[in-house]
Amino acid sequence: MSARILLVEDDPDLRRTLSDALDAAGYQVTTSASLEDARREVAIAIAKRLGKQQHSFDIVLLDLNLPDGRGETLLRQLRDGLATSVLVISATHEEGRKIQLLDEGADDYLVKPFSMAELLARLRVTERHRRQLGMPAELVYENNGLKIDLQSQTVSRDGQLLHLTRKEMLLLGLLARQPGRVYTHHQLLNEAWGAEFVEHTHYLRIYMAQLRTKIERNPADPAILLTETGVGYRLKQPA
Amino acid sequence: MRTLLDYLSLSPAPRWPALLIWSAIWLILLAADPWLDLANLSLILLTGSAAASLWLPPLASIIASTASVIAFNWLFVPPRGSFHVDLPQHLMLLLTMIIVNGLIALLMELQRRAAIRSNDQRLRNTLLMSVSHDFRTPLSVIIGTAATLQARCNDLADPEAQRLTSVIHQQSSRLSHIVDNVLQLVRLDTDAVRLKEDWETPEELIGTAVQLSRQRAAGRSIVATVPPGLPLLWCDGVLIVQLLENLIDNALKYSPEREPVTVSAIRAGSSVCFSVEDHGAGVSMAVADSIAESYRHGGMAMAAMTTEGPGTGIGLTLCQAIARLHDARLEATPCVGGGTVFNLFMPVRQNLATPLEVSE
Repeated sequence: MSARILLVEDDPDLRRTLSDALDAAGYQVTTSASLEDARREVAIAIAKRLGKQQHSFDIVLLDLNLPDGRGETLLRQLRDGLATSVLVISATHEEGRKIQLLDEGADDYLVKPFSMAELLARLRVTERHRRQLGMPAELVYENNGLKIDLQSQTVSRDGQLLHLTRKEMLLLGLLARQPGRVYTHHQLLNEAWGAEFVEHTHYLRIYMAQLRTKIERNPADPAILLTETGVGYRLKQPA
Repeated sequence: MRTLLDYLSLSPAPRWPALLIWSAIWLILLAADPWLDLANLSLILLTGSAAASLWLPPLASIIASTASVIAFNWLFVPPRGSFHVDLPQHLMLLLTMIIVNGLIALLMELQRRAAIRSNDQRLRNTLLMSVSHDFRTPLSVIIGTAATLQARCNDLADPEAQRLTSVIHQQSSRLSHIVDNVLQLVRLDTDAVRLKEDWETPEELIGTAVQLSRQRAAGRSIVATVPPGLPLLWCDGVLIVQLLENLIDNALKYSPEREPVTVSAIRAGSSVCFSVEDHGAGVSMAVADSIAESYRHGGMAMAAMTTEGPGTGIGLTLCQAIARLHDARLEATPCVGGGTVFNLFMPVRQNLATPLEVSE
C-alpha cells in the first residue's frame, strides 16, 4: 500500500505543485491549508485509527509558518496520537526552530526553495525508516567503495579493513543505521558521550575530521560523511 | 552597542591638525599679548577653538575649549596669574567664550551626523539598485522562457522544450541564491547581529561550501585541498560557508568553463588562510581593487556592485560584511599565470583554549 501523506502548506500554488508531484510519485496525499485544518485532519485520522477503519498518515510535511500559528504546535499531537514521521519545511532564517524540531523528534527538514528531487529523496529515506521499525536495522551500508557492516562492527574501504576507534565506530554506526537522515549535534553528542556533553560540539568536529581522513578519498570534499552546517551530519544515501 | 569610547572617536578625521591649531593659537596669543587688548585676544582664541573642532569629536572639543578658556583666564584676565575674576564684564566675556565654543562643537556634530546619514542613504540606494538589477536578469530569462514554453506546450517531449525547462530551473536557483544573499545582508545590517559561533574545522567549512556551489554549477570542476592538522576556528559556520560559497561562485563566473576553481586552506601565522583561486583572465581584479578600497574605508564593496556583472556586487559585499563580523581580513590578489585569488584570513583564537584532547 502506498504511503499516506498529510501536506500542511498555506500557499495555494506551492500546495498544488507539491501535491501534484507527490501524487505522480504514487503517494496518497491529503492537503491542509492551515493549522486548524490540519488539526481536524489529524483528529479524524486518530478517530479512524482507533476504529481501525483505515491506516492513518505515515508522513506529515509540515510548513513551520502557517497563517494561524506555528507549525511546531502540531508536532506533539502528531507524534503522540499517530506516530507519524514529520518532515519540516522551513525558510532560511528559521535555523533555530528547525534544529529544535529535529531534537524533539522530527525526521528531517527541507529549506525553501527545495527541488522536487530533494523532497522525494527525503521521503524515501523516511519511508524506509518507517518500514524498518520493529525490524532489524539495515546492517550493511555500501557507498563509493566504503562498506560499513553494523553486525560485525567493521568498516572497510575498497576491501581493506579500516581501524576505527570505539567512538568513531559508534558515531559512524549511528549515522549508517539510517543513511540519508540528518542527526543533530545534540543527538550525536548525547548518543556518543551522554547528556552532559551535548554542548561540546568540538568533540564532534574532531571525531568527524578523524573519521573523514579514514573513510573519505578527499576529506575536504566529502562524498560520504556530509555536513549540514549549523545543524548536524548525515551519511550520503547510496545512489 | 556603542560605547563612550566609540562616541568620542565618532569623527573619522585624524586628530593631529587640532593639536597643531591649538599650539599655533597659544603661540599667537602669547606673542600678541603686549599689543592687543583682552577682547581681541579672546576673539583669537575663539577662532582657534572653532578651527580645532573641525578635527575633534564633540565631547573632546568642548573639554579642550573649556580648558583653554580657563587657561586664558589664568594668563590674560586681570588679576593675571590667578583664576580670580574681578570685573563683571570679564566674567561675561569668559562665559560667552564657553557658550560659543559649546555651540560650535554641537553644530559640527550635527553636520557630521547629517553627512553620515546621507552617506548611509547613498549606500542603501546603490544596494537597492544593484539588487533590482541582479534580480531582473534571471527574472527576464525565466519570464521569456516560460512564455516560449507556453506557446508550444502541445509538444512537451520536444528536446528544445526540455532545454527551456532546464533553463528556467537553473535561473530560478540562481535567483534563489541571490535572495539568500540579500536576506543575509539585510540581517547582518541590523545593529543587533548575533553570531551563532561554535568550533568549526576549516576542512568541513570548505567541504560544505564546495558541495553547495557544485549543486548550482553542474559540470564545473572545483578542487578542494586542505592539509591535516589545521586548528579549529571559533566562528559562525553558516556565515563562513556562505562567504566561501560566494567566493567560489564568483571564481566560477570569471574563469573559462574548462578551468577548475581551487579552494584551499593553510595555516598563516596566527590565522588560517582560506584561498579561492580562479584561472580567468583576471577580470575580477577590478572587483579586487574595490574590495581593498572598501576595506580601507570600512564601507561596502560599492564599486564592485556598480561595475561588475549580476550577483557579484551583493555576493562580495556580503563576503566583506561576514569577514568584518569575524575580525577576518578578505583580500584579492592577481595570481601567477593569470586569474585572481581571494584570501580570507580567519584569526585563530588563542585566548580561548582550543580543545585538542578528547577522551574516548
